[in-house]
Amino acid sequence: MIFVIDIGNTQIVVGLMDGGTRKDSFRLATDRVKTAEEYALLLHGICSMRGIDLKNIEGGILSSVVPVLTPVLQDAVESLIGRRPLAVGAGVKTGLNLRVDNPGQLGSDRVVDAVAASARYKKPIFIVDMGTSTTVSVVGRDGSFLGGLIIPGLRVSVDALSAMASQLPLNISLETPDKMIGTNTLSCMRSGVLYGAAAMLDGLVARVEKELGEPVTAVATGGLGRLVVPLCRRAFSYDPDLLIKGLQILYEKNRPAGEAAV
Amino acid sequence: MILAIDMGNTNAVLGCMEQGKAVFTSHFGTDRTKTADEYALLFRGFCQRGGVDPAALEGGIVSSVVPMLRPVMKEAVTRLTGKTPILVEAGLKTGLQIQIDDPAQLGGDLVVVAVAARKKYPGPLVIFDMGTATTASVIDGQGRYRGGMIIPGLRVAVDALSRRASQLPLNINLEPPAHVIGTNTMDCMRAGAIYGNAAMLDGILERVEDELGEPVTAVATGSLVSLVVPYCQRVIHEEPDLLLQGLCLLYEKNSRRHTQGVKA
Repeated sequence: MIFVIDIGNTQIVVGLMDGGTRKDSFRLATDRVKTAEEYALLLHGICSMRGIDLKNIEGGILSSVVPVLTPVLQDAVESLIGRRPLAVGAGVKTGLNLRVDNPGQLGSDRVVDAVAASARYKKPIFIVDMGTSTTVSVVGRDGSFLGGLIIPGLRVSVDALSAMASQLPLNISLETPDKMIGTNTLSCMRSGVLYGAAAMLDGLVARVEKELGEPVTAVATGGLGRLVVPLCRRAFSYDPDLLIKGLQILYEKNRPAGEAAV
Repeated sequence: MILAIDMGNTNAVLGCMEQGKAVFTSHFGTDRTKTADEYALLFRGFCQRGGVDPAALEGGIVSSVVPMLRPVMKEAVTRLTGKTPILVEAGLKTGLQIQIDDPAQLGGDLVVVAVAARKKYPGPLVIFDMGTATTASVIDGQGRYRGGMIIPGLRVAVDALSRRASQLPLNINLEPPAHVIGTNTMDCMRAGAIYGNAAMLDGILERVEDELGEPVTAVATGSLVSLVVPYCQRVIHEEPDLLLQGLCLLYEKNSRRHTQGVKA
């Protein structure tokens, strides 16, 4: 079993993978001030609470869009399992041809999503990951990573609006409104955020297809995808575990030579 | 000539209006801490630069989505012109049939824009106002205000994302990139904001038409419209002065002199 860790700007997802199967997963808040000792204690405690024996964990891999936390989580995991987890970045084999201006600048979460989607879906692929930001990554017919879009995430956006607009409520829950044309402040905001995002995704898939000159497979991941995808008119495959599956694939690809899979 | 003021959550506009046309307009930041005297001084300065004598103004009208600034504006305009301005609030005659759960909850800016758009375009209509929020107002074929959507404005959303995401740059300049598929961080963010919002407006129009069961005319106003609308696939009429035009119409409908039939 291995640890796969995705450090996002708002949450850290920790998965326990055995082969290609997710055995367990949990989330932590992304806290940029916590130390390696604190994260180690947290991981240790949650694993023991969930009946996960750290002795069965042979290694780990992590992807991070919060550079300051990358070595912190590496230290934390190393102190628990005695092995330093690999961090996705320069020097890690991905099998993707990154056709972007500066591959070092590309968010590692988008690379991991693209690796997982390339292994599972027909190319070209339009991958949308809905979290702190809504990222769109496009994998071409030949398997190259072509680039994409970065859009403010739903939660971040709506909270920023609430904070700026005197007459709008704060911390609204995002639920699917029963009608598209809202008739009160809350239903207008929910409709705007969820139907707005769905309309945007439909339109972006069409625009990307036009730019590529061919149809794409549309794949969605990220917690908020569950609410938005059902409101889209395009068919999207919703794959909530895309990132942790991608991390598992990258772990296998980068296993030191001569070391056999357990 | 009247003074029309619209206070948004981030920016405000003042216009000296003569028969529905702006003699001059001035933009200023919404400052929740400024006093009535400070605003009066600012407005006097704008009038002087615009060549308008405040004493010659026959009245004023103010819409504000910042409730705490309504009494401040009322006092500032009264101080400047010697006449109490009309405030856009519940109870004002608008000529709109507002069919939402609680008509008093409807943002004053949405009412003002709807009044102006209705006058110029036959219903059914979708009116977008792109500022701090991107609002969509739906008016059906019978001229009834049916509701809409409130969406985080693109500037507000992009700035919030920049602050939250460790690897993204702050205060980016929103210019349209050459391609939908961006190949560097800045172009990805610009494409997301501009093409993302354009796709969203198109998709919202389509969904509203399905819900109403008839085609709509699309109208857009607000500071961010010129950035997004050129990339929409639907025809969307850009109407930058909708707010000030709506304020003039509401002034005419509600000023005492007008209702008493006294000619200016």
